[in-house]
Amino acid sequence: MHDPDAALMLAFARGQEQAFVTLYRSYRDRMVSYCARLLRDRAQAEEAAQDVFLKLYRARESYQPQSRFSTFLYRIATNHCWNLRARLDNKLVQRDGTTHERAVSPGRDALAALENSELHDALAAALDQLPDKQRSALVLVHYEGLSYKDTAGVLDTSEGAVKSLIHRARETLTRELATFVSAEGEVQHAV
Amino acid sequence: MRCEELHEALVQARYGAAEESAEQTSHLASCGECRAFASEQTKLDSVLAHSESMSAGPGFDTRFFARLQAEQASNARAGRAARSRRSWLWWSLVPTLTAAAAAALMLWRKPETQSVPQEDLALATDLELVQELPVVEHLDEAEALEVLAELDVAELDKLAHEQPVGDSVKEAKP
Repeated sequence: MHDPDAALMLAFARGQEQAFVTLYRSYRDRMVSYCARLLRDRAQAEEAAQDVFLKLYRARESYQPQSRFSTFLYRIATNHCWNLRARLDNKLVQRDGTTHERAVSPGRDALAALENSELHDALAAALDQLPDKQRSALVLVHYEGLSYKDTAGVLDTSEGAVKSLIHRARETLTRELATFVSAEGEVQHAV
Repeated sequence: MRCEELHEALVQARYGAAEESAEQTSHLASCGECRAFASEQTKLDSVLAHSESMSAGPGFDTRFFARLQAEQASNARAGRAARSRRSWLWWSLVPTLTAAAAAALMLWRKPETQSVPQEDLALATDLELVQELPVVEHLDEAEALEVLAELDVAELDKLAHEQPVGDSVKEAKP
């Protein structure tokens, strides 16, 4: 398997700093977008994407090209975003032990701020309510264009499990977005 | 084919993980529930398309490379501090190591001196002095006197007249 990005990472491991810059430029926007879909907050997503590249920089000596480079990078990003979300969820648990939904303020929520539409808010909220693995699997396959196999590599699971995660995620979204997804007509814009 | 299997196959086909078969087409043509599911999935894709991709905002690169530079500087400082600690540790160990080496040397040499007790040393010194005494230098002659004691007086007299005592003693020695 010839993976030019893996070759760049190996060149970086040998001390060619320019190879890292090339990888950074190639994946920068993808990482910001991916982190934004997992975290929903633009500022958090940008900081998380930077964290991912710092982790990549530190990983140069331990990097082993056992899978595609993109799989390696998305795995770093996925784990980092899951950790950030877990920390955020812990903060949202009040003293009385009740869990409160993550606040979606138009000023902080990147997706809502960009479109400011009810459909956008509803979609963002529905994605946000998915369990971490289902959301990550759906985002990787649907938005990032990864294959089931590569997604399985990112999530450290089997292709069969990825199929199941995607199917359940789409089922949940269809149910949660029933107002907009109707078998009788076109996409309903409830604006 | 069961409806559930077709639903899974339809989702996988959207992502290129499966191809639509003749069996599926036939099932879809005859099953209203599965046609409704397929239609819902198409509309869900339209809804999902409203989540647009994001790109890095202004100043992203500047902030990132500033963080990277800060980390590199921090690592360099940490490396220097570690080297300095190692160096300090080495120099702080020098007196201890020197003392340990001296102690080891002493322990190594001590058995030689301990193996010869003071009494033996004194005795050895005395022996050397004894060997230098004139009487001991002529010890063989003194031993010869014992031989003389065993001789008869007549023979002694005879010897005394024939040759000096030393010569006869030497000859008498076995």
